Amino acid sequence: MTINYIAVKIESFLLPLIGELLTAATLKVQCDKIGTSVEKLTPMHLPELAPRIEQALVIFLGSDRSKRVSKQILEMNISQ
Amino acid sequence: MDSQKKIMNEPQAMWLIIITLMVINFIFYKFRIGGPDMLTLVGDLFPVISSLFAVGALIRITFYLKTWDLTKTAWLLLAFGIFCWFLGECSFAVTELALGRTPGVPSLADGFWLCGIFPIITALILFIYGYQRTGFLIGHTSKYIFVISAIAMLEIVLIARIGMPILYTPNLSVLEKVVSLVYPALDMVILMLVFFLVLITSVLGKGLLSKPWKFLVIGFALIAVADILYSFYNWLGAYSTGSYIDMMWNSGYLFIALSAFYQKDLMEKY
Repeated sequence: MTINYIAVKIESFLLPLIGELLTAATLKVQCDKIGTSVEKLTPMHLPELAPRIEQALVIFLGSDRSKRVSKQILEMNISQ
Repeated sequence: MDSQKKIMNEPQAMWLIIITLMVINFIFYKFRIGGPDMLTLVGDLFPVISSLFAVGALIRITFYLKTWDLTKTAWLLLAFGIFCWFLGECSFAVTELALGRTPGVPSLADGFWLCGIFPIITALILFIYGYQRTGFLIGHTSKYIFVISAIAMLEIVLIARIGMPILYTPNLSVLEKVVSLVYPALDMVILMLVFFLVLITSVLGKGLLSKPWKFLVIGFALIAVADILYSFYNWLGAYSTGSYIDMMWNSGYLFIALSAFYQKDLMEKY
């Protein structure tokens, strides 16, 4: 089994926020929605994935902070 | 600088305040220090202080949330609701301490309480609606059906044990009867929403996002249960200020304040 570097990075980012159960489920569901899978996730998918995660966090963090989280996910692309 | 590093963060400080206030509250209630007058004073002032903590913490969160969205609306409604309850606590304390009589039903305090409960119910619904929109898991539907069934059964028991006797008490006015019945009914609605949030936060597990909601749930659960117990004991004529039920209200307010502190702490991390 190959380890997807991007997926692991997003998982490690979401884990402290939403816990183990939701991290795995959220990533899987959102990857399905953008037409890919957790295993096949590439930096190319991040601009589509980040706003979806942002939307999911709004009720907890408010719009401003959720945007920041989204930006941090997008920046994973640059920093890898 | 390390030497200037804070000894404790805000939620930890709030925990310390909760423990200190509750210990002092318990000591006064248990040992009745200073006699009945002191008990009334403490019993009236603690809810005012506790609800003031909650109002302050909730208002601060609404200022902290810059963009007007569902989240800000929900926290603002909570702040407004708890502010109404704070006014209710103040009016109860003034009537008892300054005028020297226990407010009857319905009183100005009841009016403030009823004004506050609708924004609070709306806020809790907004949190649940907002969560449902996230696309996160919500857990098994059977659990929600179980909660609704359990609350409905509890409601039936309450109607039979408290509602019917109140309804058939001859010396009560229609307004007194309505207000006495509305209290436990609306508390049941709060309790049901609280249980929904319990199910949601259990899905969120130990994630940081769940912390503010967990303490919000504890706070409202304590207040709703205290209200139901109050209705029962008040109808029996067995309630007076300084009862342990008061401690449930006070700690409920303080847990709501704690949830706002955790919310701010969470937002500061991102």
